[in-house]
Amino acid sequence: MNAPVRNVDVRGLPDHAYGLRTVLGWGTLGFIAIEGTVFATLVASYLYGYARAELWPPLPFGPPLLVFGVVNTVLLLLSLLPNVLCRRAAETQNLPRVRGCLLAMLALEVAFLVVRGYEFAGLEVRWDDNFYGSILWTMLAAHTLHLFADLVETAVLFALAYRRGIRPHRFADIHDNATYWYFAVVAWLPLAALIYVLPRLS
Amino acid sequence: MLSPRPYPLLRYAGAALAPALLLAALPDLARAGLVGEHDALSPAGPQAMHIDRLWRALLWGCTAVFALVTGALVFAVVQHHPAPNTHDLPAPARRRVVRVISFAVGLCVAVLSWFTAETLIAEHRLRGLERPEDDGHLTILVTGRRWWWDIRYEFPQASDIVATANEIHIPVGRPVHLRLVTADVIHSFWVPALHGKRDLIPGRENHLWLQADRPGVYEGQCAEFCGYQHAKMRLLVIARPEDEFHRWIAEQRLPAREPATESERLGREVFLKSSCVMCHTVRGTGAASRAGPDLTHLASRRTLGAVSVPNTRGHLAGWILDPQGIKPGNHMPPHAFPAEELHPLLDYLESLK
Amino acid sequence: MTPQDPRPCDAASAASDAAPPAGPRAYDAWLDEASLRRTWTRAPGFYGWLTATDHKEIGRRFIATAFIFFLVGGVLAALMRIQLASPENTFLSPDRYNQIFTMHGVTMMFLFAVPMMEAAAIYLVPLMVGTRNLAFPRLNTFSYYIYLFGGILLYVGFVLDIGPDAGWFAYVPLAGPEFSPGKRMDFWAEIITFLEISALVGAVEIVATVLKLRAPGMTLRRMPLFVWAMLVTSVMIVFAMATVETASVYLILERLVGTHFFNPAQGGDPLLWQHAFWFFGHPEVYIIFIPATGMVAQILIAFSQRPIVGYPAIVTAMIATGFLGFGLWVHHMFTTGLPWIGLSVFAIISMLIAIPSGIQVFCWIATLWNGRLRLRTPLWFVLGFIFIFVLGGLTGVMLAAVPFNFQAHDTYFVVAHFHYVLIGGAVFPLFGAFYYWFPKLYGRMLSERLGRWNFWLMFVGFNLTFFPMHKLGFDGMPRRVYTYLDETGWRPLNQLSSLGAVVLALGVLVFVVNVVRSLRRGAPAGDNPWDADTLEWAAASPPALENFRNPPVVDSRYPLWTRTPDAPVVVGLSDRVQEALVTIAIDATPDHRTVFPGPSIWPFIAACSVTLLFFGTIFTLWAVPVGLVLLTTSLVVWLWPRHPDADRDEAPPAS
Repeated sequence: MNAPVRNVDVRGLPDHAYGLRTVLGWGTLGFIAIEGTVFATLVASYLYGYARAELWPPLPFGPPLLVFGVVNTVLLLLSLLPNVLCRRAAETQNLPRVRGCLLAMLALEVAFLVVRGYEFAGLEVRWDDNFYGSILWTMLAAHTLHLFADLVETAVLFALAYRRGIRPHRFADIHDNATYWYFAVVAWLPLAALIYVLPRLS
Repeated sequence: MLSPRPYPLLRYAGAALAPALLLAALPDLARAGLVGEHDALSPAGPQAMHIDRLWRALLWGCTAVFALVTGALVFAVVQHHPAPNTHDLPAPARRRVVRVISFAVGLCVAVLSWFTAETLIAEHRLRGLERPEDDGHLTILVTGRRWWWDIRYEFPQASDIVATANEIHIPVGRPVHLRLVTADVIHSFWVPALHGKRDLIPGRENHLWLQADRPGVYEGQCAEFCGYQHAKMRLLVIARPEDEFHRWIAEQRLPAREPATESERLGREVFLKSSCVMCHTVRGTGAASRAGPDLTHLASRRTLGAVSVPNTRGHLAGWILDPQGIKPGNHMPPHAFPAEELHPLLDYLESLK
Repeated sequence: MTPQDPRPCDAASAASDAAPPAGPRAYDAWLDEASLRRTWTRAPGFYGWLTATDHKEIGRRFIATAFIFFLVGGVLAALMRIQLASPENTFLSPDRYNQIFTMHGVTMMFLFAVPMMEAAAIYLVPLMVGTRNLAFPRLNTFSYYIYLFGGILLYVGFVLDIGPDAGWFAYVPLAGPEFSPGKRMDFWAEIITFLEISALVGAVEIVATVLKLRAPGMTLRRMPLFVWAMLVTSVMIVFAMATVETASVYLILERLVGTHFFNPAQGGDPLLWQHAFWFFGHPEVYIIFIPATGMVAQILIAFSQRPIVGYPAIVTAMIATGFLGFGLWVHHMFTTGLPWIGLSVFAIISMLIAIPSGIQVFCWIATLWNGRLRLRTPLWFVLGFIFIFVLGGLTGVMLAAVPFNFQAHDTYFVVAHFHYVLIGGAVFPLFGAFYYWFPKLYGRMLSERLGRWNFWLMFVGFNLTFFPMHKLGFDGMPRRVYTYLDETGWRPLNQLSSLGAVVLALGVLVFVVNVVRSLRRGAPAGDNPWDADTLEWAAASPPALENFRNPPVVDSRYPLWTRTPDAPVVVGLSDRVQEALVTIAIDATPDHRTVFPGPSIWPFIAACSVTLLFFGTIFTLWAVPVGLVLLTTSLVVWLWPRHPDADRDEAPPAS
């Protein structure tokens, strides 16, 4: 009671942090929620069409080649390893390791997009053939755009990692990008199941 | 689909229209034929009656709640309030808060439970009025088209099928099954005095069961925005005693009346030679297009243009010469018939009873 | 303290162990006020105006823009009421009428209601939580430009007679390529899609600000109810708007590249549009309503001079409404022929949502009951709101009853219902909020006398306009009709409604006059003219650019009512960079410091790229690659750090 009430002096507080302690972390979470909802809507639309259709995909089309699905899923799952390492390296501000992991991520992302490119070129059904074609192309295109945006972000961070005197809060950006990549991989799995597995189950 | 204003057409048809215009200047009793009963709160059939009962329960309940809440609000404001001096912290006692909230929740739950029960009961009753489809009930296929109602009475034998437009005749006291489809966009079939509405959706067939318990003319309107002339996509449901209904059906089944006078014969020629046959059917002649309303018994109908204008000679002339003036944007193009063709054509169409 | 070891709280108290005790005055010598002011000032002139990132400046622009759209939407409504005042009126052609009712709906729902609520949050939330700016200042600026450009372009289409004309909810197939050829519905689809970006971005801002930038001591249980309302609303926006974003992209694809999402002949379904749209559309109305309940709570507290009754219940009710709001959407589709069992489930949930709203209403009435009331204009609008909103909510419960819905759906009964809940439930609270917060924004009081006229004209006019519509609905009048026959007997009630619209418009006019006069000649307002409780009233009127000289520390739910002259404040934030304190989400203990990026032209440029992308696509598909390249480039440049070593400055050293 008689002790003087102290002001809150924040000069000694750190000037950066990671993950959900930062505003950026919540911003990233917000965008994950937005894009997750977009994917959820696409999934719901796909299932809506599937439930109404007698044959899925409708004749004379077949689902996309399983090899593309398998290769791309494997590539994404593989990318989780450099991603985890990158995230930890960012927290400990281990610059060389961060650079290496970002490079590995870039390589895997580019490989994914190349495979996806071949997949698009080889799709039997077009977006304007029927509902199946429309939702399939939209799902694949949305996911591709999503990955492409992440590729750009990873490339930018990679470039920044080579500048002189990278500041601690740049590591927070890299940390966030790695968190976002978890989402990118996790979001792919239900899409892959619907696109490659579900039509082959019946 | 707008056409240019028909000043050139009027030059041709002016002489023909003059008497019609004179007639139009007098009070047009025929316009009374444009409306029927349309009050959802004056039900003329069991479905509308069950809904009306539900409405009354909802109205009483909501009025009571509204009176209570408004009364509490007014009382809270007008009662004596001490002058502000401190901010009276801490907040009011927890006990009182709990009481307020419990009361609110209790009231809401009680009223809503009542409403839910009434709703489920009404739903159950409506479902009970939907008879199995293969029970031999009168079945009518209603096809929504922009912006008119294509009506076909369905019977097992093809020769028994009756086709008409914008007017549905039903026998009093019997359930009638409507099959609702659309040829273009979403429409909604609504005759408030008889039942709630049901949408006509591409790719789906919906169903509505109607019954009129007293004879009368019941008015309806499309209730889902379908474009330009949604406002004028109306219809009439005419309920008549059983014997009158059978007479009507029998008459509608007959092919078009043969022309009796020379003028009517000439009129039929005009009809068959012009673009009318591109869209309209007159059974018994070669005209068999289903794009527009069936005209086989046009003169037996009370209105034109989906209940936009009464079916009188003057209005019929106006409709043929300049449909865009009456219902701009509808899909019937204007026809510039000279007077010597228009009059016989009107005679012929008026003979199609 | 090493950078790798950021421990909250300990750092703060350790550093201040040697410092003198409390109160802002004791630290005058430590803070260079002039430098602080300079740090928060942007460049002058038009270029500076384009680069602004201060939440108050952007918030005022947002509010003004949204209000202008409100007036324009009101003019459109007036045109409709003139047309409907007499049967078979030729004041408006059917085509113009259809465009006008579509634009009225789009304007009010997408360009006024949600943006105005977000605008209020953008201005008020940082002040109410005791920080200096929103979490992402440049993103906020970007959001405003997107909104501005989208609104303007939509009206460009309307003015050129190629505006959308298939209703604000654009049902397919009417809105699809076959039945709406031409550019009209392309305008709708493209512009709605990019307007949603503005709302989504705003929502992310608010969540991050509310969770991370609150003043020390402002635990979640001490947050103002308006802040809670905006938090719940923002979460709803994220899920709802993302859905309609996807749906409107389907419509764009359907119209532009021939997909078959809604084509039953190829496996699609028109009802998919309705499901996707209403999954957004129903939460949308709660997105509009919940912020209004937050405003109402703040006004009630200030004008009752008492704590609100049932704070935890109200917060729970807001969250419950937000949650339940996502489970109701099929009640917009009761007449589509879906199976009875599904309809019953949605009917029951639609009735259930009345319970949390009811809880809020009773808590408000209890607060009034207990209060030491001062009947000023803001409180009048709150009273009007309760009256009108409860009536509208009750007709909503009626509409939830499926068989009744069969009669009332798509009629003027529904028009009456939603205007009661939207004008009553959002516009009246907004007007109350305008009167309440105008002194804070502009430093002057609005006239109380004109305020009374404003309120009564609006209240009477509103009820005259919309109450008769309930009866018109029962009497068979459907929605969206450009005219009707005299023989239907609908003329008298339509005339009454149009007369009411005149009175309502007069009320709004009185408000505009009040604002224009008071901006120049209104009584000067002090910091806290209403003796209110929340932190924004601790700042000056209008607030300084940096909001607070020293951000406050909070010790109760009603900080301005419990603080003492020597209350602690936050010290040690830099006056040379735009620095703020980041706290822990749940209990608001200090965690670390962050630096906001200053003014920048790149949000403007990025917004231009997005506009080019979406608007250009209406006319050519080449806009897609070109727009994407421009957008990517502007985003990269925007986010690229300016100076490699000087991303931030050091804080002033301890003496």
